[in-house]
Order: sequence, then structure tokens, then C-alpha cells
Amino acid sequence: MNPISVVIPSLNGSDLLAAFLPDLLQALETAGGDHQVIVVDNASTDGTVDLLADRFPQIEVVSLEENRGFAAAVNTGLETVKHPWVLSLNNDIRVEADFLEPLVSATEDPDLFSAVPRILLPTFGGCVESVMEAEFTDGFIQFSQPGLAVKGPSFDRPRDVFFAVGGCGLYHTARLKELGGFDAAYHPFYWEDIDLGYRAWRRGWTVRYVPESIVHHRHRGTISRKYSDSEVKRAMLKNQLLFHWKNLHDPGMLENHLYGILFRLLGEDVRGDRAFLESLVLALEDAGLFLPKRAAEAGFSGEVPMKKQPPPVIS
Amino acid sequence: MTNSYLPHSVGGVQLHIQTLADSLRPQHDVRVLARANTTEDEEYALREYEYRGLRIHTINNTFREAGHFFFLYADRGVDKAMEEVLDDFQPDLVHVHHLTCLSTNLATILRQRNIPAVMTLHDFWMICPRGQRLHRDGTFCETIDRKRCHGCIRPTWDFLFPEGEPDALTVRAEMEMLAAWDDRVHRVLTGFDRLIVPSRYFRETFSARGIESERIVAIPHGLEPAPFKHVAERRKPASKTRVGYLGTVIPSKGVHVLLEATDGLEDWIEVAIHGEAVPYHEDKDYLARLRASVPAGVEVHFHGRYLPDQIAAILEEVDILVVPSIWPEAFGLTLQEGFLAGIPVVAADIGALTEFVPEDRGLLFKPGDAGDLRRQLIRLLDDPDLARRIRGRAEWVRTPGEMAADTLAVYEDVLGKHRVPEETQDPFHEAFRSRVEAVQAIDREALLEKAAAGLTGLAENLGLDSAPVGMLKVLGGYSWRIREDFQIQAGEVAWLRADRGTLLEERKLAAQAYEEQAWHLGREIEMLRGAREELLEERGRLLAALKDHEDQINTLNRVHQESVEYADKVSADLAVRDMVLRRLSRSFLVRCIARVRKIREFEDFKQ
Repeated sequence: MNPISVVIPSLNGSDLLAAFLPDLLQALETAGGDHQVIVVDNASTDGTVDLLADRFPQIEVVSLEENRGFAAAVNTGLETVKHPWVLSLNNDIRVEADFLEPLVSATEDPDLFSAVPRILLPTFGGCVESVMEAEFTDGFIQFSQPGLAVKGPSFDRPRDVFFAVGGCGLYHTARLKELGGFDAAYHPFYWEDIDLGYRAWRRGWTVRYVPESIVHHRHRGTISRKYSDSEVKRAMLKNQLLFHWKNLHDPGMLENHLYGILFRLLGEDVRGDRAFLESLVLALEDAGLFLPKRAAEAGFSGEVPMKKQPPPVIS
Repeated sequence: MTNSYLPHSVGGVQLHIQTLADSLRPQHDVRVLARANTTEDEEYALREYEYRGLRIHTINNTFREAGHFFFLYADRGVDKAMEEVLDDFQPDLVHVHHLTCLSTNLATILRQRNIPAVMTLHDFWMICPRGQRLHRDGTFCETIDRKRCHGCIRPTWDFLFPEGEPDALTVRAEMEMLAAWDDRVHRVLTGFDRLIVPSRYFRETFSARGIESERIVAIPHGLEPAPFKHVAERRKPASKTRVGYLGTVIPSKGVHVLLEATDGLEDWIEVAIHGEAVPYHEDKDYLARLRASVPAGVEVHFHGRYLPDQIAAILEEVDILVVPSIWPEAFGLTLQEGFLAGIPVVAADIGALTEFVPEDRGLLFKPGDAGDLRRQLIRLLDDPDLARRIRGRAEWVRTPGEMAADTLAVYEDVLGKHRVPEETQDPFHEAFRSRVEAVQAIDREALLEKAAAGLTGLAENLGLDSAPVGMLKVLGGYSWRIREDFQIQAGEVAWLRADRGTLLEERKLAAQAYEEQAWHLGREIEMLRGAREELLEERGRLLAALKDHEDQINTLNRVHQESVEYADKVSADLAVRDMVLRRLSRSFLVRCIARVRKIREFEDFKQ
């Protein structure tokens, strides 16, 4: 099999690495090939580096001097990736022994940007996390996960998806680098992987869901343990806004988006809810980091798979 | 916090909590949060009541909304309710006794709020989702093997899993669910500052599951000795030795083992079973099976549920106390009550029972082995001296005061630990947190102004008309008006609500009237139906009669026809006969004439 590289960012997850790395290494060995595994340690204080040196000497370790978050960690790992396909993997994912072969088979599609396995959520009834659909409603691109509405494993047909979940997605290394890796400007987290999916579709590349490849996401809530609910909500809303300002070029969608923002502000203000207003101000503070990237995103016309087509221009 | 509470639910855990709370309350403010289980209330509803001076909060959780296995141990609805209670009470420390039917997210919630937390482990729920490490057939689960667990759990909570036989992928996904459960349990257990267990046995069990033993403290439960003081002197002798069982009547408690052991002892003993029979997971007919299994001739009394204050009185009428559990008890409350009451005890050699019953404090038998239990009972019956020697003593049992002191020491330890400043913060997170805090500190009008300015710039950058952003200025400048409007609307809504009340009342009355009318109509319909029924019957009868009549007419017609035919025939006959007769009479006449003639001729001749 064509060898792949795996990049695992990790922050104080030595217990998870100890629990799940053996499965990954075993699966890679079974698949055969000169695979490469890189753990990027986000300055953990739980002895991650020692554990890796002791128990998994075959793994390459990149140690960051301070925690720089998920996106920057993957990008750093990307610099040492030597194979044409790279798997971005969270430390709380346990792979099945035969997960790799179907994923790698999917790379035969010359237009493929990324492939995502069937990610099952054992803490959520064993349902499928990785089927991502998009919709443009009320001025915003929203994503939904129809797999979450079905008890147990479902979605057993290969299909196009909006984006590959950053927690376990196989990416075309050169194309990922061409896109600049995960955009770390989406601080502190969320929407980096959606950003990649959207831009890939615009460039005429594809993102495929590969149900024969199965992994289990033992969601540990690394985020929810550190960040309060209100911080998580603001991070999501802020980055959702920034995503639009970076990537939306259709004039109708853009106009809709502006009205969408205003209506949402109006609605929430009257209810006395400040979450959206605060997120908007945070996003506006960061707009300078995103608007210059617009130019690079213009001029592509690939169709992004959407459940509903955007509405026509209002004025 | 616990899964259920007094007085609705009486078990070792609940009694222990009440005792602990009673001993702490003079100096501390104690409240209990428990789960309620009633379909008559809304799901996750918070309620309050008082029990013996203790304030109890309840969260209703009937699993009505439960969609899958995950809900058995984590439920956002329960989380929210728990947080509400935490907000209201603001505890310095939380002592959790059971999380089943509540939510294991509590560990995270407490950590986020930096509330010191202690948990007492009363059973194996954290290891075995069914709680007592018993297979579905009632045998003890020696080694935890998640492959087997799957076969246990699926039928126990079948409504939480996809229907039908699971395919290989579903099984794999569900195995992963169990692994996630292990993962979470481990995190929960390590999330509490200290774990309290009631016996050394439990300490060993949990440290063998990877919890540092320094974090586990064994504190046996304390029991109030006063109610049991006079049990011994009040005990009246009975003709037969009275063997008693106290406790919930469920399979794990091994009541069936006790009944089986009494086979053949009917001349010497009688048995009293005290305690409520409750469903054990999907097993709902244990009591019925027990009743059916009473050996011939043995007198067994099932007394049913008892209240805590009745225990001493019950023990006055017990000569030997048997604790026949087949699951490894964490403590064995009844055993300790037997000690306090001065009764000899016979206990299963399992779990914590083993450590509380050394050789001179009672007799042990092989768990689940009725033969061995019978042997131990016979030993006691045969040797009154042995019974006297091993009779329980109050000093073997720890008092609530002792237990409270030990528990408080743990609390102090934990509270002290929390006073130490938190670990250094992560700058990556801090950068975002401080930004969020900064925007949260800005008042609404200023924030709207900022947003308007920013959006105007953004609109220009995106090549859009920025005029609509002016809307925000209106919103900012005239916010008081909008709010006023809003208040007016709120007033209107309230008025409409009130109106709605009246309307609803009217509608209710109308509905009642309609209902009444409908009832009457229903009655009428019923009556008419009855009448119709009768009429139909009558019609049936008449039709039958009509048919009879027709038959008769037909018969008569036929008879008539036949008669006519017969008459015709007779007439014909008659005619023939007439003719014959006529002929005959003519010939007779001829002959008569001839004769007369002859006579005349003869007379003539004579003359």
C-alpha cells in the first residue's frame, strides 16, 4: 500500500495516546508500507514526550514550546510530512484494524482533496459523526450532521461531504499545503476544517466520505474542560462569521449574509441576548486577518455541495 | 447527591446518608439532591421537600427522553437541573453517593466550578452498569470482560439500542460505547478529590481498577446504637428458632439461597423475610419465584416493606440473622444491625461481609451454597453455646459520630487542597478568554456602536452597500423605545395570556357541555341500538312465523289439491260405480222382471 503520514496534535493527552496509539500502529503495520507517524506536542505538562520516547520510539515527536492550538500544531507537523497523503488525527480517536485500506483506495480519484472515514461516536449512541452537509439559510452557511439523528451506525454508502472533520481526515498533502494548511487565524478553534472543505470544493477538488473505513471518536471534551460554554459559543460564532468574510464571493449570498447579521443582532438584542453581538465584535476585531485572504479565494467557481441553493439577490 | 431518597426509597445508601447528615447538621448546612422518578411530573423538574428536618431537592428523571445508552450516565437535562441546585445552595463541598439516574457530567461541572468533591462508592455501578457484577443468570461476574457485558446490557436496556439482532458493525460500535463508558468512569473517579468506600474490600477492588489507593479512604458506615439497646432483653423465646432476613428482596441478596437452605429444617426453624420486593432490572417476578420455592413444611413469612424505625422491633423476633448475598456487598448494613441487636449472624463469605465477620463474630458460608448455609444453621441449632459465643456486640459497630469525624477529616483535607491556587493557566486559552471578558465588560450601546462601525467598514470591504447597517444606529440610539415597545408588547402578551385564561375557561365549560351532550347522545344511541336490536329480533321472529304460515299454506294447498284430486277420483269412481250400479240394477231389473215373468208363468201354469 502507498505509505501515508499521520499527524496527531496532542495537549496533555498522554493517557489517550497510551490507549490509542497501539491500535493505530498495529493498523499501519497490518496495512504495510513505510508509514510515518508524527505527534505534535502542544507543550503538554503530563509527560507526553517521555511516554512517547519510552513506549513509542518509532514515532516522530515535534515539541512546541507553548500550546499553539490544534491548527498550528497540525501545520507544524505538516512541515515534516514526507508522503503525498496525510492523516490529521485527534488523540481521542481509536482506529479499527482495517480502517486504512478503504481510505487510501479513495485517493485513486485524481480530484480528491480529502477523505473522511465513518467516525462513530461511542459516547453518543454509536452514531456517525462525519457525514457533513451544508446549507445556506438566513444569511449563513450552516453545517449539519444527519448521522447524529440516527441511533447506531448508519450512512453506509460512500458520498460527497461538505468537509472532512479535522479530527480524522486524510488530506492530499500538496493540496493541503497549497491551501496553507489549517488556517490558524481561526483562533482558538473550530471552522478550520470547514474552511478547508469549502475552499477545496471551490477549486474543483472533492471531499469524500468512506464508510468502509471505521474509527471511533471517544470524545473527551478537551475543549469543554478548559473553556466555558459561553467561550465555546463565542469562538464558534466568531469563526463562523470570519469564514464567511474570507470565503463568500457570490454577491447575492454576501448581501444575504449582511442582512442575516443585522436581523440576528436585532432579534437577539430585543431578547437581551448578547452572545451574537459579542461574537460579532470579536470577529470584526479579527477581520483584518481574514479580509486580505479574500483575493486568493476569488476566481474559483467549483460547486460546493449544498442541501439548499442560496437565494437570489435581494436588491 | 444520590439516586433516590427517603422516605420513598429505603435502602442502605439512603439510611447511611441520613445518618451522616444527622451527625453533620449541628455544625453544617446539609442538603440532599436526589432523583425522583414519576411520570406525573415533567422530565427534569426540580422539586423540594423536607424529611426529618433535612431539605431534599429532587430532579425528575424517568428516562422518557433517553435515546441511547449514553443517557444512562450523562444527561444534559439533569446537568442543568443539578447546576440550578448548585447555584441556589452554593455548597462548599459536594459529597456524591450515587450518580446512577443522575449524570456523571457532575464531576466536570464540579471541577469547572472548583467545588471540592468527594464520592462514596456504595456498589460496582462504576465498574458494572448493572451495578452488582451479577450476570443475568444471577452468577457473580468474576472478571470484567466487556465482550460479555454487551450481552448483559443490550437486553437490560433494550429500548436504548437499535431494534433487531445487531449486525457486526453495530456490535463493534456498541463495544466501543462500553469502552467509552469505562473511559468516562475512570475520568469521573479520578475527577473527585477523594473516594470514600465503606470497606477495605472495596478499596482493594477499585485500586485494582487503576485508581491510586492513596485517594481511596475506607470509612465503615456508622450506625446509631440506641434503638437496639433493649432488643436482647425484649426478645421472647419462641417454640422454633426464628431465622430472619432483612433487606430488599432482589436476586442479588440471595434470599433464594436462604429458602433453599431451610429444606429439612422445618421442625426446628421458621423463617421471616422482611423487605420490599422490587424489580431487579428486567427481572420482575423474584418474589413469586421465592414463594414457589419454599420447601415443603417450612414456615416462611413474607413481611414486606419495613421502615428504618421498625428494624429494632423486627430484630426482637429474630434469633439468627442470615445475610445470604450473592453479590460482593460493599458494607452489609443488616449485618451490622444484627451485631447491634446482639444476634448471632450467618453471612455469605463474599465482599465486605468477609472482613466484618472474622471467626469469633459469626459464621460464614460459601456464597450461593445452600448446603453450606444449612450446615452452618445446623451448627448453631445444635450448639447453643456457639450461638452465645458469637452473638453480636455493639462495640463491633462504629457509631455515627465516629463515622462523621472520619468523613469530616476527609472533607477538611479536600477543602485544604482546593485552597492551593490552580495550576498555571494556558496562554493560548488566556488570550481568547481575556478577549471574551473584554467584550463582555463593554455595555450594550457601546458594543452596538462598535459593531456598526465595524460592519460599515466590512460592508465596504466586501463591496456591499453599507446603508442597511444604519439600522444598528437606530437600534442603538432608540433602544429605549424598542425596549419600551417590547414592554408594552409584553404587557399585551400578559393581557392576552390572562384573556387566554378566560377563553380557556369558557372553552373548558363549553367542552364540558359538549361532553355532557355527547354523553346523552351516546346513551340515546345505546338505547336506540337496543331498541333496534329488539325490533330486529321481533322482525326475525315474525319472518320466521310468516315462513311457517307460508309453509302451512303450501301444505294446506297441497292437501287441498290432493283432496280435490282425490274427490275427482272418488267422483269418477262413483260415476263408474253408478254406471255399474245402473247396469247392475238394469240387469237385476231385467232379471227380476224375468223372474217375475217366470213366477207369473209358473203361477199361470199352476192355475
